[in-house]
Amino acid sequence: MKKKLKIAAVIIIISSAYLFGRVQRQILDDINMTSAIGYDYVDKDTVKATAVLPVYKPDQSVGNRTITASDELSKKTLSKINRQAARQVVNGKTEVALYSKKVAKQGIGGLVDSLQRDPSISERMMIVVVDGEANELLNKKYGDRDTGVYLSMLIEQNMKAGLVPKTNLHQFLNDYNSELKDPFLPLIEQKNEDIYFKGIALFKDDHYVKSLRQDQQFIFQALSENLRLGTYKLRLKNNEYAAIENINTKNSYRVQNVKGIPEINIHVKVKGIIREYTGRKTDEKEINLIRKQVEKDLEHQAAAMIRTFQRLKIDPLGFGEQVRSRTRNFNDRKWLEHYSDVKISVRAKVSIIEKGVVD
Amino acid sequence: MKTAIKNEFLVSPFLVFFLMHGMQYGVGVLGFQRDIVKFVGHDAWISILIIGILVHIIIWMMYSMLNKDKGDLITIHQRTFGKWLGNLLSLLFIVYVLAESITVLRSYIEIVQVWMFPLLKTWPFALVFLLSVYYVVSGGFRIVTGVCFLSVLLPSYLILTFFVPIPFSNFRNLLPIFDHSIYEIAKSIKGAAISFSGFEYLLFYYSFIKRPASSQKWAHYGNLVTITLYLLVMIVTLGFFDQGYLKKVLWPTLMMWKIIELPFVERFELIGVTSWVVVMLPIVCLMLWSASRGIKEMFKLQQKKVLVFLLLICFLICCLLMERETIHQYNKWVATVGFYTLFGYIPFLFVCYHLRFKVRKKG
Repeated sequence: MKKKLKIAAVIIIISSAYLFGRVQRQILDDINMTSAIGYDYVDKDTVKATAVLPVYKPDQSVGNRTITASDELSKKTLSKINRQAARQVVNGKTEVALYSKKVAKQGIGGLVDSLQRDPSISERMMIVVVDGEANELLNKKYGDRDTGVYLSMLIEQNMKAGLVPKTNLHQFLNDYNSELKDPFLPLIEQKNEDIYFKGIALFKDDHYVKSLRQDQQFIFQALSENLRLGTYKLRLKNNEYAAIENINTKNSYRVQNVKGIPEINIHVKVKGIIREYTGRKTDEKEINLIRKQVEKDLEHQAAAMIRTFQRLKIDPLGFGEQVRSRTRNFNDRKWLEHYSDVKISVRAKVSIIEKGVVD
Repeated sequence: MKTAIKNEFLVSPFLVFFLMHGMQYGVGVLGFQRDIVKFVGHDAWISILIIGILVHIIIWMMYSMLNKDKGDLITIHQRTFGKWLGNLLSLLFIVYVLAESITVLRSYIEIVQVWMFPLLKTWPFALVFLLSVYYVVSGGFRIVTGVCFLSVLLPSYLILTFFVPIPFSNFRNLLPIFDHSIYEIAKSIKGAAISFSGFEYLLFYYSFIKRPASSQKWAHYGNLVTITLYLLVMIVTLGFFDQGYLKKVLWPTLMMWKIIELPFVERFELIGVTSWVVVMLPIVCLMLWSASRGIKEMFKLQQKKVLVFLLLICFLICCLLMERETIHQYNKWVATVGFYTLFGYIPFLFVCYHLRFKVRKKG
């Protein structure tokens, strides 16, 4: 009798757990996974979200379908997008989030919140700012993949090649939540049939304030990370051009006078190989000339760029973080107050280690 | 008052290593960083080192009492404070053990609900989990130890995952060292000490160890491994997150798993959280085993019946804790009680116990 009771209890427990312990099923063939999502400005409170859904066709090619919806909240747009989709739309595989410049100017903190709060979003997700309409960019199909995967491949390839600073959702959130540092994101633009990188979008908190042009990008990257594979083009005085590739950079920060208004000296070591030179010969004298020229250019660009940062009171390179890590009892407010008066100087040291296989 | 336990129920001394480390390395690992960082920011790793040393001292204290007594917490209490007061204190300790087991289980279910299945109800999970706890505990202490042993070995591959965020980290975040006052460090220790709890169960299972006095070194090794792992996780966390961001994140360890990218699985946390069941099971098992064993000792009841009763309480309270805020409040409450029990009451007991013997010898 007792044994029967026990067996009955076990059966009841297991069957009730089986009946009530179920969660929703998501079978891969029955859901739509967004591969990219873009946000455009409608009016002050409303954003228009565009989701890219890859369509896998029977002949193994991948199509592109976009759905657009607008609402005040970005999660709400997903449910609106769901109303237009035959299969449930989920965002676990979203690889790229795009924000149009206009949205970014309004501040993307609220929109990013839906990404950071969602456990199914990868920390490696790419975020980019679009010069123009994100909707237009996403509506087109590029290459043989769907737009989302194409974009993520494009960005990843450029980051690996050192042409675009390494950013992802995690880095953005780190900088955005930091008291001292301000975030930056790659800026892309659609031109004709292609997407290309236009520069770097600089933020103050979550507001877009300015973009860096392509020619300032190299020194920006050299100051923010240690580059592995950079490229740099320079124009010499005698109207000759030289291209330096495979550039390794290493930056070291020195901070003086941490008690008062600090002074920051940054040394950037640049090592590269000459890959192209329109002049006649690359002898020692020429190379020295190129070397000096690069040093001068870099220092010049850096000084101008940092002046702009100080004028706008933004700190995308993390100078504040450098000072904080060298100061006891660091005072955030005092630093932010004095930020525009801080003396920051950049010294570049260039060495050209090879010049290819011809003289 | 020594209750002789048959040789066949005893476990080898080296298994204390797994009992010690397995119990300490639990649900706390997934989110302990917050409670420390709140107070000391980038100096959090110092607090962990200090907690580690404190735990070593308390393990030494427990062994010094147990080696003399050759019993467990119940007999120590009875000898120090007399039968009635001693039993009352043991009962309070058991209530704390039960409260902690509920914290552990509910926190884990919350993680499953937030990170994996938002629609999962609490009670079916708790029911199935506690059923397996009953199955393990009713098998006796040797089975509990076996599960503990596996729970350390099976998910040990997860240690590798803590190295993945390093390329995305900036270890300048850790500087300058010693930037916080002693007071702030003390406060952080109070906040986070509960994550390192689990060593106190030695007071219950001591008499189940063969040649118990020789197991002390294994207990210390266990704690050493725990502290090393916590230290590793903490340092990687501090490098990986900016302070401002870290203060917002509820489960930093799980957040770090989000950076892992594998060709066959998009979201690694799902594997991590699932693997964590193996880590959680022996913790709840040993807690409930200790509680039921203690009650059995005191009131001479049948352990299985006590166990069913305790499981029922555990189950009911688990289901009653519904929202994030209530769970958080409950956890905070248990953490405070736990801190005073482990780092206040055990040293107090240690002093009382030895004083009592000194006085008796004289008299």
